[in-house]
Amino acid sequence: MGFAIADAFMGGTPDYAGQAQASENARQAQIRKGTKQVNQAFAGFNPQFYNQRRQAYIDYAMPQLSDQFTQTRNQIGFGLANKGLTQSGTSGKQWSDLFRQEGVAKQNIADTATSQSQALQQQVANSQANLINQLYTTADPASAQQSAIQTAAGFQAPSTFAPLVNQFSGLLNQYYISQLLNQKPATSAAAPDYTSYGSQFAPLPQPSSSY
Amino acid sequence: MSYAGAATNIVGGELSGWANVLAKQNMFDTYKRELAQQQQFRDQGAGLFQGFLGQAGPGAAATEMSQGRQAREKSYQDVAATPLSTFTPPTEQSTSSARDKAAVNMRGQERATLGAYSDWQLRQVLNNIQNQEALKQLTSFAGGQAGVFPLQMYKAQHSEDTLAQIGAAISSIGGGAANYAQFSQSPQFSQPQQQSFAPITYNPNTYQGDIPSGAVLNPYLSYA
Repeated sequence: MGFAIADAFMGGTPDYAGQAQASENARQAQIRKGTKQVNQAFAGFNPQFYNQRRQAYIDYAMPQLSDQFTQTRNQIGFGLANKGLTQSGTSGKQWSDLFRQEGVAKQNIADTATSQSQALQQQVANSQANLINQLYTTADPASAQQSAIQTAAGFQAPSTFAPLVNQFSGLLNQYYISQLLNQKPATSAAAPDYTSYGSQFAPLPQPSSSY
Repeated sequence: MSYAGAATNIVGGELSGWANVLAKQNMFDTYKRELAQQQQFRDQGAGLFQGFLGQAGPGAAATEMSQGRQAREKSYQDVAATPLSTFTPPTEQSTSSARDKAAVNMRGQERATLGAYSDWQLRQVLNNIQNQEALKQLTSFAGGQAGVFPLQMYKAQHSEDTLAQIGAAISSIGGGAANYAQFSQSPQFSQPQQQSFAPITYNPNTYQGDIPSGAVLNPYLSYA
């Protein structure tokens, strides 16, 4: 009988289940809060941000492409004019190839910009997922929020871009252009000599008396 | 007092029995609640998975690829509209500019179609990341709730301890009363059965021997 009275005075059996349930509810609330904070820190990474990233690369690469195009056009124009081929079928073919390559080069830049934007998008998603995963272990929304802000700031910093590869290098190294320029002599005031071949810059070897 | 002790024992035992039954019922109710809660988690997970499965189907892929192709073609058009030089001499223009543009556009369309697969793949990667996060959270919550279940069963098991203690106390009172009744009574025991030592008179009609008539015989001795 005394044990019952003593147990009643001591408050009975402790509510372990209630305390554990309250602790679990608090843990879930912390996880939800931390997830919300991480998502808020990464809210700036929207489609507009990634479009800006894509446009940034296009704005960076187009001036370089313009320089390459201008140099290539000048070289082709000089070469054709130097050989007197400005009004020939070869000239039309050359310019056609140049402008087609110009269109392809622009598409290359657009695709590269899109690829970089998509790579950044994937990196951001992975980082966000990693930060949220930490919540399941720590259940600490404050540290998760701080890490999220630091990570987001790192992504928004400008990244370095490699210089644009010459998009017209293949065009200038075409075999038939080189052969054509070597087969046709440069224009001069004297009558054209159709019997000699080879470049004027590389004179033909003297015939040998012994063979 | 013995009757009072028996009665209190009965009452106390009845209370203890009811405490056990109620505690068992509480444990079963707790188990059913946990099953229902875990079933809710499973239903949520199944719903999420079905949604993810819809995003990975060929219909969604066709839509995403179509959107990716349109976006790429638009980017090609925007970039193509940007001139690379401010002035082009008449002698440095293509004689087949229309055909050049058509060739570039055709190539761009095919290129956009091929690039759309990469766009769809990126969307799948992003969807998988989001899906994994949602399932991880669900798994974490379900596991945490399952961890509380043993303590809830313990609580249910001991939910009627008070009633059981009252029953035990009443039974203890009955036991005490019984003990009191037992030790407070006068000795109640019966006379031991004495062996009869009355002499046995010789009966000449039944005796077979040489004992004189009328002699007193010892019943413990044999006279054969």
